[in-house]
Amino acid sequence: MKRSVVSWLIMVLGIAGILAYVGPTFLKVTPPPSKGTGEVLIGGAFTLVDANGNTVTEQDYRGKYTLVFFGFTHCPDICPTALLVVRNALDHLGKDAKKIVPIFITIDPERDTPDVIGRYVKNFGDRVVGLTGTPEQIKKAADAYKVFYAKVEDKESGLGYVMDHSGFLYLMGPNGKYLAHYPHSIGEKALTESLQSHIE
Amino acid sequence: MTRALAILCVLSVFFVAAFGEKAFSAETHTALMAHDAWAPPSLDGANVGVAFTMLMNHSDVPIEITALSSPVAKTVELHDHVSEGGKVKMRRVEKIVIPAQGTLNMKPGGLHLMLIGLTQPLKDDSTITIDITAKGSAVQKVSFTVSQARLIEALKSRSNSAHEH
Repeated sequence: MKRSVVSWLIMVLGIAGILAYVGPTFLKVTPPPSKGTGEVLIGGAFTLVDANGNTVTEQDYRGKYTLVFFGFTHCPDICPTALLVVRNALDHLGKDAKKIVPIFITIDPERDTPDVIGRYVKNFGDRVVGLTGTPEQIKKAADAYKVFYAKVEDKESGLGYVMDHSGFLYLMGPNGKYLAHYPHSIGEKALTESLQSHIE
Repeated sequence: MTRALAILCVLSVFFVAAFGEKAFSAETHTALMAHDAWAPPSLDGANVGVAFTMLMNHSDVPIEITALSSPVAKTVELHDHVSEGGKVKMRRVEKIVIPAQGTLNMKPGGLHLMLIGLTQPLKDDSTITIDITAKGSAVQKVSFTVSQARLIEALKSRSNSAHEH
């Protein structure tokens, strides 16, 4: 009996191992292509709503570099830490920071009303612009940036639902063209250096 | 093959159930210890908070956490982050078990306690309590220090490469 239990365990572990190995390759998301692969189709037209309830479009930010990223206020630490890193990187840039507008776009418009998103970005100083919109507007903006997001129901959770999303930050030029992207887990030193190398 | 797999799954569940029953009936109240319990200050506009600690099981049997609660939130849950190829997923951990002589380590970007529906903001330099109940033992009140400095320290360990995916 003892022996059969051990062999079952080994088999279970083996199957778990196969699943652990195979799983991630199925779920892999390809990051957007980097520079050097020709024209990168990241970014584009969007119509969203700012913290004051005013409609804004990508045209409102022409002439400035934008650091665009998507998140939501119920995000426990990935969004806040990314916002903190962005704030610190801009602080390190000194005067050049004025050339960049960090734009935080919610993928959870249901919870993140203009008032909520406005208060939220204020936690990270005065530079970050928080944008929301109708679910359709958000979808269009996210599609333009090739951002994946999904609402996942969890009725047993106090949250009711959680959001999955792709965690890249996109640096766009003053003409609205894609320049670079960064993982959400980037450190402030690396972000500062890269921003410095791109802005003129 | 599918049938064999199904049988295997069922049997493994029975095995865990049988083994688990015996293990969890043991006295566990002194065996579970929380270390380095802290929380970043909550953010204006967000009615959720997050807290981290390392739970250590000093006993020779697994410990299951059956309840989490706090006076500062409507609900407390353990959540995990799964990050793959730039995609971030957050999931509630349904069954929390700390292996015998093992640890459950929470940290930014990984396992974390979600404080849902904050009844008060988490202010820097204050202390909050989270009640942790292990199966078959009394409620343990764990003090968490709310600390912005601790968050900044945790951020320093982040990668400084611009191109890791």
